Amino acid sequence: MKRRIPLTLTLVLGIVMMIQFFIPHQFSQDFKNTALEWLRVIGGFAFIIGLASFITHHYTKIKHKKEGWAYSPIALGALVVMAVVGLIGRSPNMNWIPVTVQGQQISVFTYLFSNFFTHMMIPLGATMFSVLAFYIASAAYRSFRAKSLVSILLLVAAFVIMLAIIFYNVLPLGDLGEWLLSVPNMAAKRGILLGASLGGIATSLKIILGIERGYLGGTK
Amino acid sequence: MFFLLLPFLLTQAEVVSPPERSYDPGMDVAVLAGEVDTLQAMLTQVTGNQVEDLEAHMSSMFTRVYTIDSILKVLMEPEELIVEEIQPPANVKVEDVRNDVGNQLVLRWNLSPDDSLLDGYVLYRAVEGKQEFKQIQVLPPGADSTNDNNDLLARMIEYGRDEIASLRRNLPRAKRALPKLKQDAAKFPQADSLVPGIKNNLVAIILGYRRNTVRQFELDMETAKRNAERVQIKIDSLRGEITAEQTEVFTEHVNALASGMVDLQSMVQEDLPPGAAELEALAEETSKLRAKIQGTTVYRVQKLEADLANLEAEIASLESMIANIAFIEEADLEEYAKSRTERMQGLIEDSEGKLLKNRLSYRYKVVAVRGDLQAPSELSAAASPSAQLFHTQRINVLVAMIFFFSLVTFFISQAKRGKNLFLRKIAGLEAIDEAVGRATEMGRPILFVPGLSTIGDIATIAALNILQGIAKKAAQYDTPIIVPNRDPIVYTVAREIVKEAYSDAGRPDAFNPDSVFFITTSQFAYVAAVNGIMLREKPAANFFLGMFWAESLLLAETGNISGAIQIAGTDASAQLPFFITACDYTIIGEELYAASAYLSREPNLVGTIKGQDWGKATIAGLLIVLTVLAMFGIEFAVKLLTTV
Repeated sequence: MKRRIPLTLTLVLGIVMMIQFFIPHQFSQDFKNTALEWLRVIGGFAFIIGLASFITHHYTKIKHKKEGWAYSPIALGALVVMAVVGLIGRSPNMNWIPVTVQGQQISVFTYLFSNFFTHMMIPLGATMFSVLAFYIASAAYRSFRAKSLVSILLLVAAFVIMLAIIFYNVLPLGDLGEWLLSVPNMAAKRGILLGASLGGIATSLKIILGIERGYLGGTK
Repeated sequence: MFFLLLPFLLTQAEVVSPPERSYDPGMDVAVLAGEVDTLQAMLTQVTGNQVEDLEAHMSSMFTRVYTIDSILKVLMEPEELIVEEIQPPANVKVEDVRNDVGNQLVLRWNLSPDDSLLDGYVLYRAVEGKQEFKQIQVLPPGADSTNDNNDLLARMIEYGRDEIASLRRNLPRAKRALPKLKQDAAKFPQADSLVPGIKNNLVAIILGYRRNTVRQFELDMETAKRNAERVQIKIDSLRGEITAEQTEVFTEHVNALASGMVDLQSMVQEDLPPGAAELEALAEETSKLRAKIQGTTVYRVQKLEADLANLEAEIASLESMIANIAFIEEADLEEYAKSRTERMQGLIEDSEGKLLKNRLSYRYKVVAVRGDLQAPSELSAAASPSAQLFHTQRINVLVAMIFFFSLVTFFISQAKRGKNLFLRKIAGLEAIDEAVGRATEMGRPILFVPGLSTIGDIATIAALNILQGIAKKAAQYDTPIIVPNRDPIVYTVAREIVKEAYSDAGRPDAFNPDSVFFITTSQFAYVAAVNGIMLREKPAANFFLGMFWAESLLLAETGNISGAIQIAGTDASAQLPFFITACDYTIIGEELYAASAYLSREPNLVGTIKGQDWGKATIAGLLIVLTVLAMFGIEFAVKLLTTV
């Protein structure tokens, strides 16, 4: 029963949604919109489960003093502070503990929420992202070692494209660089895309027909 | 010339083409001469080098300059035509729009022969058999088609309903907040009586449920006062800088500007139609002089004083708003809410009356309009909108789907009958056992990242299918597995999968609920957490399977630094180069979807892989054939390649 109900639901709804794609009628569109709304509602409830997981995970780390446990109180503290500040600060018509910022009177919670997000979340995310520049350099170094014919081809192609971009309008490599990107590179990308799309369709079919049950935790 | 043509025009019943450029000096001369006289009178006063006078005069001066400019503009414009009759548009055709939800008709018509003279077209609609025509749309000249649907009307109905709901919700709140507002307003000087113009604005603001209305006005006032102080300081400082020499230069500019206008006056007085080039030159000269004047300190002072005056007006207006709150009563709020609700109900009713309904027949007429002149077209034939039950432009998708499903079903049946279906070796999938084995030997955990996408992404489902096999092996070998998640739903599914895998392996007690956990939905915060896990826990095998974006290399390179064996798989072609560079094995595109079949070798699953391969071969063949046919200009091939 534990498997049969989800499998039946998947089969029925999978076929219904497939048919829906071919019906432009209003009832069909309404059904699709309702299904999407359900997805959002379920997502909202799942977030509570995610939150419980987050708290449990860090609580366990602190309790057992696992390696790096000191970060967990910070994570939990940040969760509580941001939740309180966000819930109060983002509520309309909530103006507790007002402060004046640039001539505007706002709640201190709104001020803190905006500050934490703008001056902590965004710079920290940007820092992580900027590390990518150094990683690209180290990864490129490894890739461009001419060990085989394929690596030599890769090295030459990359070199041509780099020169074409850096010395744009200086070296006559613009067309060659453009050609490498838009013909051989694009052909390979489309090949991968075509295969992946068919793979996606086949996987969907397997799931709808109940052949693929891995996502339910097993094949039995 | 206009007067010369007038008798001729009066004899013409139809539209007459405009004559050569000409202008009527009558009114323009009077206006212009008056302006220039005033200007000259003022100029005699500005020679006294009095800054205050200059500031006052400059304000008037620019009004005059703009007036002269507008006269120049009028002179440059073509003569207005006398049109006594316009021709209607013809051949109005109405059709139902195919493959839609209904409630939509498309209209086409031939433009009126006088299209270039029109203000536009007005579209009217009536239900078949009824005489009452309702105005539906107003269209600009040149429009020869339009879609009649309910989009705008539906938005208006929604707006009206939202507004009514908001009034209903806010009225009691606003009533409760009113005494406090009046109490706050009492701290300010009271007005003698309620200003009618302000009342409605004020009631609307309070009904928008802004219980901090007085405080907000007060803050705005403080800001305006602060700005006014700054402007006053700037004015004082600039006045100190103004020298007699600057004033002299300023006066020269003003005089030059005036002499330019005198030139214009002389041209006008000579009653000669000035040429376009002369007018343009004069306008350009005026513009240059104005720029010079604007660069002077004297002008800047004048401009700042205007700003100051605006700020003072704003302060006065805010004071008046606060003072008037004292006069607002509950009854005012109720009355406003009632009248606004009635207005919104009227809007809703009017919009609902205009809604296009499926299966009802409609007739249309298009009316050409120029000023008071109207020329209606003949009535169109009746047409009714309808919703379709099948999207005819998706037949090709249906055919392709049926073909592909048939292939898959055929190969599944072949596999079930025991036919040996060959699958090529996929190095990345072969290496999964090796990676799990390595982790077991080293006594270190396995890290599995199921991508950063949601459960709606098919790549995530493919990754979760692989997780099942890996988790089962990990359970059998008693190797810890770590599954950090970015999406709460994926976390829930992944947790169940790992738990079931441990049960399947006969070791349900070994499942650690803390091994599958949710981190955050924030992309780079997730990456930071996973990188931390890689560096602290030192997993021996890392699996990055599913959908990835910019974080792919951040994860894979950190894994590489930590020395783990890494297997990555994604169908995001932009991320594949990063994985290929930083990982030991990469599962590319479709191989990710073939993984569960490849690992389990179940006939049903293997059959789908063969079907997938044949489907791909068919599409490749079709693409080649259709491309060749399209190159020879065969329409059918082009249509098939471009139809969605």
